[in-house]
Amino acid sequence: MSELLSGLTGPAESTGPLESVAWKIGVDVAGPVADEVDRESRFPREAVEELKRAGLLSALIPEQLGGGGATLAEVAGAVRALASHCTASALVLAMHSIEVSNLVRHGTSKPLQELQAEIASKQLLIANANSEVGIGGDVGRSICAVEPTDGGMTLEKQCLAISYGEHADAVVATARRAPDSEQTDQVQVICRRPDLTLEQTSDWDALGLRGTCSNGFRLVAKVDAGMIYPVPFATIASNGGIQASTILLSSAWVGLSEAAAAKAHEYVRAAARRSIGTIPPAAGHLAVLATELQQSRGLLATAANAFTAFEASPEMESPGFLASVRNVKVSTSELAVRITTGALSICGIAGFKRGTPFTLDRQIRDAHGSVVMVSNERYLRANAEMLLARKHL
Amino acid sequence: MNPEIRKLIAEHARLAVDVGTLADDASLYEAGMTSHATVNLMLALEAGFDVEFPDSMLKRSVFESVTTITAALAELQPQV
Ligand SMILES: Cc1cc2nc3c(=O)[nH]c(=O)nc-3n(C[C@H](O)[C@H](O)[C@H](O)COP(=O)(O)OP(=O)(O)OC[C@H]3O[C@@H](n4cnc5c(N)ncnc54)[C@H](O)[C@@H]3O)c2cc1C
Repeated sequence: MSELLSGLTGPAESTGPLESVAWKIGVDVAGPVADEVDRESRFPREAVEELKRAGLLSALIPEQLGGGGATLAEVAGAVRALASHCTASALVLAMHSIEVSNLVRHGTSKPLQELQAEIASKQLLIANANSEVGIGGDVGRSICAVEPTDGGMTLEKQCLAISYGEHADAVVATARRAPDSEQTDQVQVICRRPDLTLEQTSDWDALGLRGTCSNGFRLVAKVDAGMIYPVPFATIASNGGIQASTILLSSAWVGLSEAAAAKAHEYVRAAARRSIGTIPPAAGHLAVLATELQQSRGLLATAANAFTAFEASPEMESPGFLASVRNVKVSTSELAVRITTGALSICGIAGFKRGTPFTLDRQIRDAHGSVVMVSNERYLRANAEMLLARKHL
Repeated sequence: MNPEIRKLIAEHARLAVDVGTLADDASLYEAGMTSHATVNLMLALEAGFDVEFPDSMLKRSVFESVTTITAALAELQPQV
């Protein structure tokens, strides 16, 4: 179990290779500036530089294309470890890795294989622009379309949010296949610089997850035919895309929960040292918090290891697995809110104030982002609909 | 079976075009069928043909076109 994500213990103990690299980046680089990144709502550039140096941006790419050949569970472990120090940095790794996972699964054409090799050799950073103004988070439809122009194709999209868009080397976007296509007839296009311009249309002054810099943009790109996925977007999404996305986002929510729980644990141990022989009152709350943290870890580990097991199996697309990964995202995000606020009731005023070792300010605000970063309501609605068709729970 | 399938598609798939204009192997998704509409179509097919689609058949590819739906129903009702 050492190389996979553990459902029982934290990343400091279950040291998969990528997990320990990410943990060290968290301790040395991302953690020390996390409050500044949050306060200034700025891109966590130092951490991303370190991720590049460690080759983490190509961890999922096969070794024959120059990548690390890692499993999704291993990368999920890295996201979780980093999130304990800076959720925003971890989300950059998570969101980038969702795109890379899709490329590895569906980027079978020569140009997309070459792109994978280039991501590995240059540690390119990939962002996403699936959501659209006027459609919101319903990514199964698009308003914008790939438009033929003399001598090529272009895409113009009003993007609701593109996390770290300004800092990305490429942006992946959904669009209708052609100007006369229906909203559900979508392709996914990889827009690369310098043929890509992003004009900011809204800013990102958010309650939490402030370092993701998820501004709104008007995207205008010249589309290279080789940079359109050879399969419809619906296939990318249902065959690995939704699964990778829910698992990698959940990894951030688990790591964030672990950070808050660790503060509560330290607080209780400090209290125990002051009154040896008695169990501090908050220790009981901490025991409850530990059960919630274990649920969260267990849900993530099961899903991440299942993804690896189903990599080449039709089970990947089964309605049962799809519903279960959505459940994992809904549960780990709701548990993140519960665990961070539970930690606050343990740490009390020391957790409520900024600038103490026990401050939970950033974790509590970030945790609320987990519920809206792909709306839980939307996931539950999708699962409710699926239950009308499924024969087994 | 084909006219009955087409009737249920017309009633439930909420296509942007008249299903009568689509070939048997034309993609219903490309014609605008959403995942929500797919579930409704599946429920209507279950009721109309008195079958149950097992979980293993709840895949996009099964509901892709009149042809794939016909094949799936044939598998579920070998006597038809
Ligand atoms: C930190 C962060 C980073 C992001 N980064 C990116 C990015 O890089 N690229 C990108 O494309 N997008 C990004 N997004 C956007 C994200 O993917 C979702 O599109 C967005 O959060 C959903 O926006 P919404 O809540 O307005 O819309 P919706 O998903 O439309 O939901 C709005 C609300 O309406 C209700 N609702 C809507 N539809 C349904 C339904 N079918 N069933 C039940 N209830 C429903 C729910 O209560 C929901 O909370 C990011 C969002 C966040 C918070």
